[in-house]
Amino acid sequence: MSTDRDTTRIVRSWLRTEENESADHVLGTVLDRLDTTPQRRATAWPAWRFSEMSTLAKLATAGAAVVVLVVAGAAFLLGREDIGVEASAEPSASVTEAEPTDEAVPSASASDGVGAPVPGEFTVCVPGNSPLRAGTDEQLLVPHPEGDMTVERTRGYTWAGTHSATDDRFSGTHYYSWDGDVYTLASGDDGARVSAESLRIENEDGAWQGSGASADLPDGTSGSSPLVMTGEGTYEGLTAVLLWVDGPCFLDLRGIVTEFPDPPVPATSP
Amino acid sequence: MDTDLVVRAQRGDREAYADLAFCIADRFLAVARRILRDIDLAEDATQQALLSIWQDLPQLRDPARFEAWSYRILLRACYAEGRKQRRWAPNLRLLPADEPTRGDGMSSVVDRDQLEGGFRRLSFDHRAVVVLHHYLDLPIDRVAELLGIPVGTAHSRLHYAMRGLRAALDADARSTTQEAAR
Repeated sequence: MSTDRDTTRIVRSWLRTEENESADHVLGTVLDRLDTTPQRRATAWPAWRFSEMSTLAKLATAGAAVVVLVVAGAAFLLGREDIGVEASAEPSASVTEAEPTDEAVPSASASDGVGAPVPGEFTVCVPGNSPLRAGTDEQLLVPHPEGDMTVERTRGYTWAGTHSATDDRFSGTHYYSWDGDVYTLASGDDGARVSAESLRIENEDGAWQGSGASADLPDGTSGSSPLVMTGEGTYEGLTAVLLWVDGPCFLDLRGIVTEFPDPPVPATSP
Repeated sequence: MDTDLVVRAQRGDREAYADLAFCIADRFLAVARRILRDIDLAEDATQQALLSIWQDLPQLRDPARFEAWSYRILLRACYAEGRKQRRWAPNLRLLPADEPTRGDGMSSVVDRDQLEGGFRRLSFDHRAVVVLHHYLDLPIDRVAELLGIPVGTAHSRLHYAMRGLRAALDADARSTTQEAAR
């Protein structure tokens, strides 16, 4: 029986002694196609993230974006003050436009030249940190008609540290945890992936806590929900919706804060 | 990587992009081939990745992060190519049967066959971790960063993959022992 060390040595040797072809003709083809391949200008929403979404999700996202822009624009034009609630000691605080405060982390939309952020919009950059608490990783077998599936189950890893945001109410100490299941078919093909995460941000005025989830299905359909965070302390009565965006940080988020006390609960009687 | 080249390529400078692509193309092809186990698929993935890099460069906000960003694009291209061909055609480069035993840990052609079979049974996620760690020599936290996954998950995938490859090698050792005993 081989040892782990033997296996590592053999695998490394196997990978390194394989033949390496030159990529010259691939490169030639690519350079020939540059004339007919325009660059995509910078946008706030990364193209790859959008392209991985299902048609339904794209429609929903586009619809939601239109609704957000219409509501925000109307509120801005009509001089309403209930978007971008400023921190206050009172839950029913008077409301003003949020002011970006940390120039070190510019708003993606502003930096990309797409347009000024709407009132209440902010950007969060959480740098990479070592885990505060190591979680567990285990492999399980799940019965499947075409052969047992393997599930890699990750639970309980938590990261913590300090971070900055363009809105000071979202700067402070963060605690981020992530759980995930990765299903692999007996054939070795990807089965599905599902994960859930929670983020808590604390500072001297209060805290925010929320969670989200994502799933990748075997046919390539995938999607991530935003983090919906509710305020505590002086932020009580506020809700922030944070979207995942591409960027240089461990967690890159753009969000908008508004005055929902909590996500609404559907009525169950007339 | 020269960030000045990246910035110039972001602004549409084709010469800068060509220099950038020249620096990474061979390594991209080598990584793609090792993950996909097929040179044609690897070339398609490399080509698609290089074109995507050109198209999406203006969206890269931090040019200093070009390397990690570009590897993520390559890995996505590998996944996409791999999905196109769920059933793998054999692509073994069999060595002569009388090839002497090597002193570098590759004891036999049989080892290669077993590793090839074991590796093909791994998912792309697992293959990517093995190739980035054992071929490119990247530490596991860097692998996690490139793949956009927690370090614990990268460790877990590497452990699972190596266990599978070890099982493939051990299966061969068992069958050889049984044949010798007959």
